[in-house]
Amino acid sequence: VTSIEDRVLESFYMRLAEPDGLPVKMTERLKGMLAADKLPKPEQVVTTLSAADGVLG
Amino acid sequence: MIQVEEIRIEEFRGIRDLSLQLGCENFVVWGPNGSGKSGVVDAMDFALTGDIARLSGPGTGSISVLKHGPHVLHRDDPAAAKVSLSVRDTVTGDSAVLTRCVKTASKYTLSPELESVRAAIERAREHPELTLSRREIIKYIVAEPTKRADQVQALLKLDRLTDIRSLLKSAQSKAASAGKTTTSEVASAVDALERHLDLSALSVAEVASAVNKRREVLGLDPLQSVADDTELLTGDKQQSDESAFNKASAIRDVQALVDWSAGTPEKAAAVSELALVLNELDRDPHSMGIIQQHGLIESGLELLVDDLCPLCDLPWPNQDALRLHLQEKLERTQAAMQLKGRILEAAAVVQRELRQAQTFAQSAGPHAAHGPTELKDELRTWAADLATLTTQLSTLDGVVDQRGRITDQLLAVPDKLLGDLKELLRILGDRPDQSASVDARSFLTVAQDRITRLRLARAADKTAGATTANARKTYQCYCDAVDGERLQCLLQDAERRRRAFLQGQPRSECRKA
Repeated sequence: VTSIEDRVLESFYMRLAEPDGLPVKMTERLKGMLAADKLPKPEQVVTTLSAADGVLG
Repeated sequence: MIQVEEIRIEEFRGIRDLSLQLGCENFVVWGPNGSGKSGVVDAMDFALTGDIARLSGPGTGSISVLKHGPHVLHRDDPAAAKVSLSVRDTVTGDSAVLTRCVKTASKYTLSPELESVRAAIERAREHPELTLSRREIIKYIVAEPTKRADQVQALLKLDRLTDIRSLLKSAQSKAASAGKTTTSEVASAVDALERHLDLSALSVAEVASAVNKRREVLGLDPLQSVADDTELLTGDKQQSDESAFNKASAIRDVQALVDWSAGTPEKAAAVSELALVLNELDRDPHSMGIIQQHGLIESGLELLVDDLCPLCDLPWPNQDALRLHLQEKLERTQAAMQLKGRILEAAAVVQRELRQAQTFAQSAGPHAAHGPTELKDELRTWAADLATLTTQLSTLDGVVDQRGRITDQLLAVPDKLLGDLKELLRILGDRPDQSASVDARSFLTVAQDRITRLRLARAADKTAGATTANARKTYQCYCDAVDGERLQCLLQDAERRRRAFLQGQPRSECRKA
């Protein structure tokens, strides 16, 4: 049994992993950022979601 | 689920040594202020989670369990501060004693070691909302009606989910904003290249023709086509110091900015239209307030679940009457919202002109060094001001803030700067004509620079577009996940139960599937 927060996040990452979601590496990096005690700044999230840094696939 | 049979608290918070036999029953702790009532809740919270909710979160600064968990007489001895809970698993009936010490807060011992009890404790640990402090409950009770949903989330320890939603939404806005900037840079790069080639559009044939005309002057073979990575001077052996300056092109760049400042009927109409719609806003001083109310009423309608107004908590005869009232109120705001739409539409036309001016200023910038001493700085300062103004005109508040600048001077180059630009034109015109070969070589060098700029701008725009799509997808997936977990339903149900409790009415279940 997991907390509501865990359930929501698990469902979120599952949706991101769907074929029309995000590349696996990008999702993993986002997951790492959202698991930290302190949430990242929006700019850091944008950098992670950027297709410019070689994580397109 | 677990039940507490007994709790033993030693040197923890304000309690020296306390044992309570709770017998798996409900219980009440009472006593005067400062007698340690909250300490009992803290002890249970700590025993189950290894943390004390009251000592974490906003406003708690550098307070920590390690430093502030032990009794004040044992502040430097966290090993002395411990809590033991005798718990019973309601499913199996198994009992065990859970002991946790402040010094090693992340671990606990269980005696006897029973898998069923450990699993039950883990389940409880995953639900920190099981222990609520007096402060948390009072904050919920005294919260304004419109802030109650936030407080429910805080009580259920779901604030982080809300924070993540805000974070992803903000990331989405920032990505979209960056995308607009890169798209604008592409338009600017296209404009600069067209002007340099003296073409009205970048058709493949016309670009190749303009380039080959200069290559012919240099005795070079014509290029079959010009792509964004084609070397325009390929085959040329000679290097020239003046190759980066092309007189005719420089004059066209500066002249474009001077011409822009001369104004056109379209520009005058754009400013005049914006001033006109702002006058309508001025005539009704309540318009701004009504516009701001629109979103609130819309949200209120969405939150309507019973006969209590979700905005002010006042009871109504029935839900239909309340819904009708809110809908009528919403309709009354329509006129104000239409005015807002017209203001932003008019502002968007002015924004396009301002972006055009920034493009011209950017192209004229490199030539400023040939003109009056202050020209370079003047041009840079003006361009920065235009960029700020363009951003401001994106929102109603921004347009209203810039109200004083919406005059016929808005789309004109400042007098001093205009004078210096005209002087620059004179200086450029007075320069001796370049020989045919120097003209051709410098033309191709500048063209190469501008093609490179366009290529980089398009690549950045493509990346920004993909990033924006990723950010949009991420936010949407998050919202779907939250909705999928019926979180909104949970929050609405909690609010409904609160109201039912206050009114002494039977509780109704959430109707959302």
